[in-house]
Amino acid sequence: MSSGDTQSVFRCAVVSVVKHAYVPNGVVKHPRFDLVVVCDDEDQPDWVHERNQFYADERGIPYVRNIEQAIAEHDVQVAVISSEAERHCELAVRCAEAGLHVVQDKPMSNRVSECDRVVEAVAEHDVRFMMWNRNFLPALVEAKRVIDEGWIGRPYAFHVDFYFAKDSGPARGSRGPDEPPIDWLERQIEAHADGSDGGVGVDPMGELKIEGIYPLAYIQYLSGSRVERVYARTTAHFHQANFDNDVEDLATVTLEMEDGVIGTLCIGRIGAASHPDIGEIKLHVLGEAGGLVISEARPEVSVYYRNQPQFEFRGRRMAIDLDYQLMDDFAAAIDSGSGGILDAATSRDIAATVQAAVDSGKSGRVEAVV
Amino acid sequence: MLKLGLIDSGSTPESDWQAAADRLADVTIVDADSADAVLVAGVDRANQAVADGRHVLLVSGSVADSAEAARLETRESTVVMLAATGRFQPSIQEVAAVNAAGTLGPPGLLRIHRWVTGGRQVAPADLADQLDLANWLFGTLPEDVYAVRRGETGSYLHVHLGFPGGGMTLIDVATTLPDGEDYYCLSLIGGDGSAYVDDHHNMHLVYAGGHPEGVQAGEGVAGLVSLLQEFAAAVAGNRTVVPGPSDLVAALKVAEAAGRSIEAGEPLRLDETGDGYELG
Repeated sequence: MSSGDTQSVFRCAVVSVVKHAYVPNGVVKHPRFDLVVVCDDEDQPDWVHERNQFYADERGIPYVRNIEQAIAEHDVQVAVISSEAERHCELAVRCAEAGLHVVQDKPMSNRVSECDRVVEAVAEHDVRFMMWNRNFLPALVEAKRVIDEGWIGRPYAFHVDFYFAKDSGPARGSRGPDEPPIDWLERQIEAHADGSDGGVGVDPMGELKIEGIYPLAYIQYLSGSRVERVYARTTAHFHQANFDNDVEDLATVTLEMEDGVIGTLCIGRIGAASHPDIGEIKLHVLGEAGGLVISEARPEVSVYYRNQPQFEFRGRRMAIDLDYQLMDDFAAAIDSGSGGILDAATSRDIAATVQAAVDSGKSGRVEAVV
Repeated sequence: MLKLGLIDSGSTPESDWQAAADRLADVTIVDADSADAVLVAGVDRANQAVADGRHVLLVSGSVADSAEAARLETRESTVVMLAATGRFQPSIQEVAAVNAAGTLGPPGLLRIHRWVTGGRQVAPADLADQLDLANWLFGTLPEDVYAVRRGETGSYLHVHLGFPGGGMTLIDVATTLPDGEDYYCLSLIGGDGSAYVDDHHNMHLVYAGGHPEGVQAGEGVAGLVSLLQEFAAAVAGNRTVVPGPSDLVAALKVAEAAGRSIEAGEPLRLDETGDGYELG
């Protein structure tokens, strides 16, 4: 379904905003998108309603405890979903069935079968879907340009280091043997205060599921190739919550892709002490005529001063146009009826790659991506 | 004074060995005939030197496989040391020092990119130096080895290792860079901290029209100085030295497991003897 009017403003419903608010905040960086209502289901727990209400108050828009009612009464065309991961796809399907285009926070889901439902729903109802991603960060745009202009020849190997230098509760081994396992949801709710609650939900998720979409989307964006086979090593190396819930906080993944292209991923939530800023995030690309080394953080400015808080980033990213470009791409996708930067089918393939990596980490074998 | 003869210097120019020796009071470069220690390539030359009663520095990458490396002869009165220049690079020494001191906590993830020119096939011996670094930093052999090779020429090889306790390593070696300088990058993520050795950061910029050019901030011959210091100290103290023949054998066994993994398309696991690798 295309908008037919390339100047029209899309009225957006924020469909649950229990995690970071960066997705709805990013959506309105583009003048063609306006947030008009926050909504969720009545039967959600109190902490969900409290966060939704808080965001609605912050934005000065109503909070409606009935999603279908909010859609009907507020004339919305776009849903912005930032719920717990296990609800993402169910909400996306309901919104697509109501004829809304969907912008969704990561991960797409913690189950590939749920992703399949979204792919089917957006196709059946002819609406556009975008997974939130970082492909328009300045460094990625530059990497894409260098590759597309042929500076390194045909690229054949893509490597991404994606480390978040954040803590996540008690360090592994720091609790006594008689202490009970850390409850995943309680820990994630607590983590909202410092923004490290990307894994919020009932089902525990490791770093591959929480953050894997970003680096894997980089590889997909730059290579255009699908992943066929995966070999991974995973471990809970840093955080007791991950160890107690049997989900990884450190992983390495080998990706065997179409046309003999090779990819690798190093990913981890490696602790705040491990890097002066958000973490080392880097791309290494080999082509038949050269190589490319990209620091995702650049351009940045270094800032140091007396009494600087210990964990304040010394390197500050700048000239970031990500939010606007993502939404500009999404507006163009709606206008033209095309797929966009990270549509449902591509996102589903990435979720399947993540699942294969998690499975490989458990089985110790090479896993096919299906 | 250790008199060192340079019979084969491998990929490191003789002038660099000379420059390194010039910085040491107890090492001098002499003609091979009058040397009491020699830098040689290959097992046969090393064994001949040992038979002649000479100490041996064995050129890195000059032994094709673990069976050949196992033929390296040693005697109590002679020192046989692997000239593993990687271990002695100042940047890698810094990483190894904080790792050994426990500053980084238990090692979790080692990542190495080694990209060179030439386009030749990447052989197991080309991997051995980097695999030796992984074995050294984790302090043991990997328990899982998986590898993929690309292209008919085999000019690119990627190895994925799993170590006991959940540690992991990714190493890729490419020979596909165009003529010019090599690229090297190593990072080690530990439980309490991390260390990054990176050409990307250690780069000066030259503006001479058009795009600026990067000029590597080189580490000079400091690594060779450290290597010769260790060799000379081992000779003077008549003690065993690290890295020695067993480290070379271990690295080549992992490299051979990588080769078998490529053929099988599956990972290999350390067998019950702890001395070899087998499928699945």
